[in-house]
Amino acid sequence: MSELVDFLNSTGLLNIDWRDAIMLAVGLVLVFLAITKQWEPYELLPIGLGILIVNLPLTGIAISPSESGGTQGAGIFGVIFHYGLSFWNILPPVIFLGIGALTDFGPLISNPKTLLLGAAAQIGIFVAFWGALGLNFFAADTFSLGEAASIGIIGGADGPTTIFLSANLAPDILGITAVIAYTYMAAVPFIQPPIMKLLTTKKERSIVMKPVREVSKTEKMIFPIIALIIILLVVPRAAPLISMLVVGNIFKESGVVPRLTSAASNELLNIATILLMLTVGTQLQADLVFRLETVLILVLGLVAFAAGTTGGILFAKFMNLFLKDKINPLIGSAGVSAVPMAARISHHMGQQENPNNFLLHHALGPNVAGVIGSAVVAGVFLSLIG
Amino acid sequence: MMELHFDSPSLVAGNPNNLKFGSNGAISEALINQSLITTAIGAGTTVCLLIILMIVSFLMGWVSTTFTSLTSKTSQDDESDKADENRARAAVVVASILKSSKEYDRGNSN
Repeated sequence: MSELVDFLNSTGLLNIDWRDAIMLAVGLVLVFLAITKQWEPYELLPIGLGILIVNLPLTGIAISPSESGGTQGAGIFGVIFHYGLSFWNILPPVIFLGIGALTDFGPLISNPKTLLLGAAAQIGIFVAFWGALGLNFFAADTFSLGEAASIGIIGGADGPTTIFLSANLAPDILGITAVIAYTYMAAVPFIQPPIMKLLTTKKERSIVMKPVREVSKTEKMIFPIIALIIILLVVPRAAPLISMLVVGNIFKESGVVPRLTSAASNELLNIATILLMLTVGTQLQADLVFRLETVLILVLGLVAFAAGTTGGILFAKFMNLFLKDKINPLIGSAGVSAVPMAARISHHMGQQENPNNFLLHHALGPNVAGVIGSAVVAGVFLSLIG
Repeated sequence: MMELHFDSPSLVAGNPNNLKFGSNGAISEALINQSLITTAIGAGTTVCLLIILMIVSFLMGWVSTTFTSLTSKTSQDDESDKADENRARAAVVVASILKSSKEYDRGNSN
């Protein structure tokens, strides 16, 4: 009889509490949204599944080697989290390799002014950074400097960068910052358009931009190499992200290693995405989520996205005061990264005013600049805080 | 190797990552300073680097455009030379035809 009681006590059925049940529901909602609405399915589906798995009680699947006293007692996602993220942090750079192999710097090179929009949109990072620190005035010891930086970087709207920085500076909130970053990236079609409409006039949204020049293959190879050298000389801590981005891009642009390009942009990127997203999901355990801090991070993440969008649009309007060939301020919002979703939103918003206005190519400039900008900010945060 | 030294707040109050507002007066002030420094350096570095990359892109574009226009000008010159050559050749052919037709006429007049 005692064996039966022991067995029952070892089942999840007798160990599940209401918080686990809510997290299971959250996991199911993410899975549902990913499948039916196709919201960032490559991220939200594995994250949702990870949440489902980890919140089933007593699986021990996310116990890390440091908690268990060795790898043998650790769970598979604990091991992946430990070696792939918090200890070695290799998964985000691997994802950047794949992103690099998919990125086209052409729109950026053909219209260099758009780099400024990418810079302006990074204001969201600092707004959320100060917002997180400012909360400590109301409740002492809410967020440390490292946590504030990890929350701020959500405003960069770049999942791997958020994970990379959080894993280094605030591994305790990694799962939360990552999920919030990806959730808001998925929600960009809902967050950005109202702000874009509010900050621009119909006339501004109708601006048709001059076609940009064609960029040669040589330029497409020289630019990332120069960018790599300049950025890493100034911010060496950004090397894991920037170097992998450039390596992947040179693979693609050189055209001489199609197998490597394909491996980086398909197999490697997909494997890293599976491991990373599942592991991020398994970091969202009920006892970590049901805290006031999580709600605050949710709000701050939204503030970061909104501030980044606002910064990009307002700076585009400011630039128009001095430019002969006006730029459509809608492309400023693409500076928050979220490649290529944010660029698509700019394009669609432009087409709503003028169906013959094709902004996608123009918006990809600030979009790619945003990726570089947020990686640079992450590098600076690491240099100063890490 | 040259190393820069300055009394940053982190030296005063330990690892800034562990510092929090409101813990006590000294730490709070140190953290505010550290946050200000982080913001200034972070934003400044990002903006400066992206401006440098913008200048690099402009320069690359200028070189590329200049090179392309030079190349197209050279090819235009080549084309016009070729056209002159063609016209000259055509003139020679026409002249020879006219000459031969005159001879033909002369021959027929006999």
